[in-house]
Amino acid sequence: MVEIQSPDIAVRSSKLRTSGAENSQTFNRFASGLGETSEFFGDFGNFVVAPISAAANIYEWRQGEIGLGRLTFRSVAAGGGIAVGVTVGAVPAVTVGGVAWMTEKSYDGFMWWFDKMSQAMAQTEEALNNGWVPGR
Amino acid sequence: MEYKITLRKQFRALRFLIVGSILFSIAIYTFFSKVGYDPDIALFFFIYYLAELVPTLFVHIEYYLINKNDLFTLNSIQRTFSFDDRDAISFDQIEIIVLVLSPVMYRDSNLRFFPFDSYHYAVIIMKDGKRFVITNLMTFRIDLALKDVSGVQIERRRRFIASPSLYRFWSAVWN
Repeated sequence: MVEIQSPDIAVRSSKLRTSGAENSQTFNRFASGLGETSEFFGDFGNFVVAPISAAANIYEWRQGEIGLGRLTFRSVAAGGGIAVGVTVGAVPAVTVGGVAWMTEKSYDGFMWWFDKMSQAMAQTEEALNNGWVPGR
Repeated sequence: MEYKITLRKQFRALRFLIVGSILFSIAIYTFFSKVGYDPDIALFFFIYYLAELVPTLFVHIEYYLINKNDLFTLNSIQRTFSFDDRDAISFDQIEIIVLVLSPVMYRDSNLRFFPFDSYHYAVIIMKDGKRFVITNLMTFRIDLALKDVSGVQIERRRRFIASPSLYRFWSAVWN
């Protein structure tokens, strides 16, 4: 015969039952901790990440991976983002950063399309010069 | 409540710079480990760090010299304050309190961009023209301490670096 240890179950179940005030305190501690953590990463994220990101851009430029125009654009965007963050707020700063990133990606996408179109047009022109007639 | 400069409050004010410097050193080490040492980029890091360090230390030393031996006592019940155990002065004799804050503190943001962003000070201007300056080395959040000062107009001003000497310099330049 197996003996059921009911007191143990009772202890465990009592641990689960917490009052509303205790739940509220736990949530407040969690929210406070979350706030401090986000504050910590927000503060030092900017202090540390901004110069490292700028240095990475300078490194890429010196290696010939990006041009001077792109380096200037990224530097101005980063500086503008920090300036907006300081004067207006964090959310507008993130927006500036996001818009700058999207602008760069859009430019890359457009230039890719432009190159492909130029190649296609050059090939078409060459074919026409060689006597190709479309549709024949 | 009594407010004076303590070592703990000084560390609290310098916390951003100290922790930021440690994290920045780790980040630089990691960066150079990945891409190799480059003296020009090292110079860039050095200039960037100086641009953060110099204004912070400047403001810190300036604040320290202003309130070095001061003891500011605030009695919100009797509505008086005193400086250095002198006679208590009534809040009614205060003309205005000017609170000079960095842009992020001005809009009550918890996010800091620079190590000198948390530095701020208040100037208590009396009706007879006397001025008392309280810096945040006496109490980390002057704006919270000043909530005990009832019935007095508090004007908030925004400065990129909350330095009294720079404030005077720029006021002289612009006026």
